Amino acid sequence: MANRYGSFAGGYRFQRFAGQPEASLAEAGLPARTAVPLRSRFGTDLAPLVKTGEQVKAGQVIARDEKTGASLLAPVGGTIKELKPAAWLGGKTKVAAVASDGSAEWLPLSGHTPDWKGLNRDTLRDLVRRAGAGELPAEASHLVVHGVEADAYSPNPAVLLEAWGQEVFVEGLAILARILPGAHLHLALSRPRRALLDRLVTAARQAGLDLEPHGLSRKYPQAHPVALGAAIFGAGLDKPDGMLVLDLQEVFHVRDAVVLGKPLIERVVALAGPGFLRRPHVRVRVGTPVGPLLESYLQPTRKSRIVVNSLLGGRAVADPAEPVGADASVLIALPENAEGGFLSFATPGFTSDSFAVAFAANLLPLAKACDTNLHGEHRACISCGFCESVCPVGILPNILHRYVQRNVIDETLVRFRIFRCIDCNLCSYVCTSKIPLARLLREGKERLRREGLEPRPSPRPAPREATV
Amino acid sequence: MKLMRSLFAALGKARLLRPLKPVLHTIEGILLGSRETNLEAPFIRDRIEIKRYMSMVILALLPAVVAAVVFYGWKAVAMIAVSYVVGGIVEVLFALIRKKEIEEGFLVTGLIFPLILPPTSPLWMVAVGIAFGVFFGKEVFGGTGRNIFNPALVGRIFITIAFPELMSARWQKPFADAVTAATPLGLFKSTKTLTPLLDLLLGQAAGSMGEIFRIGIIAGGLFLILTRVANWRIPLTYLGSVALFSWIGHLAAPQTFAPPLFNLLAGSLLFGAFFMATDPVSSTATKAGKYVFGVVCGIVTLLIRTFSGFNEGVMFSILFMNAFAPLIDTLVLNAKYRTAKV
Repeated sequence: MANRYGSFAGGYRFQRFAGQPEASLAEAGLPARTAVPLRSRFGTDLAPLVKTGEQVKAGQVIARDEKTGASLLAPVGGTIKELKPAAWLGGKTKVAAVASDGSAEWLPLSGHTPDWKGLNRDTLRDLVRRAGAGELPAEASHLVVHGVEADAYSPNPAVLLEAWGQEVFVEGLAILARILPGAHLHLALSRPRRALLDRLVTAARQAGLDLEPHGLSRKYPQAHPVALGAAIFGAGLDKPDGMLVLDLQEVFHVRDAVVLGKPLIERVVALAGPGFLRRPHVRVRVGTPVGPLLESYLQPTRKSRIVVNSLLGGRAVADPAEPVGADASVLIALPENAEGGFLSFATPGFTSDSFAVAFAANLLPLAKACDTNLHGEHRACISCGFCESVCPVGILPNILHRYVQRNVIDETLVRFRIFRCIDCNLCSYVCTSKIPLARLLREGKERLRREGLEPRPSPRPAPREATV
Repeated sequence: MKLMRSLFAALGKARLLRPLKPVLHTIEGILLGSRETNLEAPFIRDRIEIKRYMSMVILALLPAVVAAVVFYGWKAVAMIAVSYVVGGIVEVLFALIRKKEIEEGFLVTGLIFPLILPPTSPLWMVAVGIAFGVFFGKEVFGGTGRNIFNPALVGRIFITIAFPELMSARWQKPFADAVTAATPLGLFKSTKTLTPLLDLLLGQAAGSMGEIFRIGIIAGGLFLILTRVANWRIPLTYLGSVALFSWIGHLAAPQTFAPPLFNLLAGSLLFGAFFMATDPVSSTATKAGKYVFGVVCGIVTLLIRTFSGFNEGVMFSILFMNAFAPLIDTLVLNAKYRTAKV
């Protein structure tokens, strides 16, 4: 696979989608009540350390996994109102409901200091961990910080930087460089952000950090670690061992944890999509229920589905009581459309997005609409080859899905590189016959794993998942 | 919209119409679009769908269709109508028996088939050919997407073999009443006469109904490639290999091999390369396979044109390669994934 630096083979550019987030920042304020699912990022349930009726402070540990030490923090100060399973979490995992006492104060982490240069690596890493800002590895060869806008809707890195400040970014980077002394530092933004990129790199260099700038393509899934590796190192799909990927906001969280002792109780979340009236970036407490948060921003007359982080790879909010997670970066209001449209296949398509150049919107600089409709009917594969053209890892979904459909789950799939699939879902997106290719590939991978046919862990590391 | 939805809902419930459900469902799908939503990621879907995809092919064929109607008048219209009606009946019958939806691929087959017939073909033959093509070329394999051969070509080859005198000796120039016996390729074979290239481009030479207005075919083919509905690899390698090998052949034996430009423009090569070899279902699925498919199609076409008893070899070469497409794909996949590294 030929790779040019700055990009990767395949992929698809989601251009001009209507309802991009505005370049402004709004404060959501303190929610009256927050919800914390007692579940680790690996999906294991955690035991609560608090009881109903107990007073907690923002940042206090309310649940911990004894085995991994993973802990969950109260996002607001107040009272534990409830500790019971919620239907939207499958009805088994408990959710802690914390009623706010109206105070914006939070419990600072012990051991934090603005004078962090005197602390050693392990203390710094521990601060980050206790803040709930992630588990940093002991070693990394490359640290890639990205604010790549490669989805249909992505947060605006300029707004994020304004929310925290450029010096916060540089300081966070310096802390990370201290924690990971062997790591080369990279900053990746989308190419149109060249000026911002230069500004940040200059500021970092003035602080003595050798930060390498990368202006990358806006093709989806450029923000995925595999695509970042391919674009930055030009080494095909075998990205270097020990490459760690963080997004901009994670760098801010690291700095806030170490310098301010601030736990990860707040996120800046971009609002995007045609279902919103106003789409600012919103600074919001983690655990804020999505329904009340978005009420004043949504179009009142239009029913929308709320999708978290990515239309391609994210998940839908099933219940308005679901909280904003510590990994949320975009909330998308996608209009529901279960009605189709009159002769919809024959319209000129002034707002239709398509890989095929078969719509007016392919030729004219018009904003594109999107909704939840399938836009077509399920048919047998006609081998149009679109999925192969967009696949970012160079596998053949059109060939692979037939094996899964026919229940032929064997080494052939492994040989055809099914485990290279990174679940970007682009193949399902472009499919002319509306075949759920990505789901079939996932199913194939799962069944192979169950049969013990997954190949030995390749030399490629499984890096910490980049926050989408 | 709402009214029509409830009308279809009522029709769907009617007991008498139950056997016609696939037809009703298809009409509803065409008129009102899909009601299904995406319940898992990806939550949005590309606006392309089979109906749009096939509509693009029909749009690309329009120049050839309009030219056929201008050149041959009511006869062309009648042939297209017969093809659509008879082919449609076969398609609908099959959909009803299999209780599956009517597949849109038929709209392309039903239009391509009359275009690759001589304008003198009797209408009953159009009916026999399209019925055979749709039935044996597609339905018996399980419908669009599962067929091995291009259905229009299956119909064409059936009537070529069943009625050879009607299919090879009765050509007609546009705007001429006389039925002549020679196409440009036939003329070259028998008398070594080269038809002027401009006549070929503008359609002033005998040939199948839709293949002669070549400027329109080139425009339609480029349109298809630009829309990404047709992959560029097959037309490029097909035409390229015909050009290359006829150039070499013409240098070596000018009396046997026609010059490259003549070979490119004569016969049904352009129509075949742009509209039939590119049929994604019956051609190769892999990129490398497409190059092989095109190159070998070109060689076989040239061999048949030059050394066989037939004047034209496009139809045979594409069908021949359709048969080999699965094998080529398998070989390509084996070569591509030869290494054990995963």
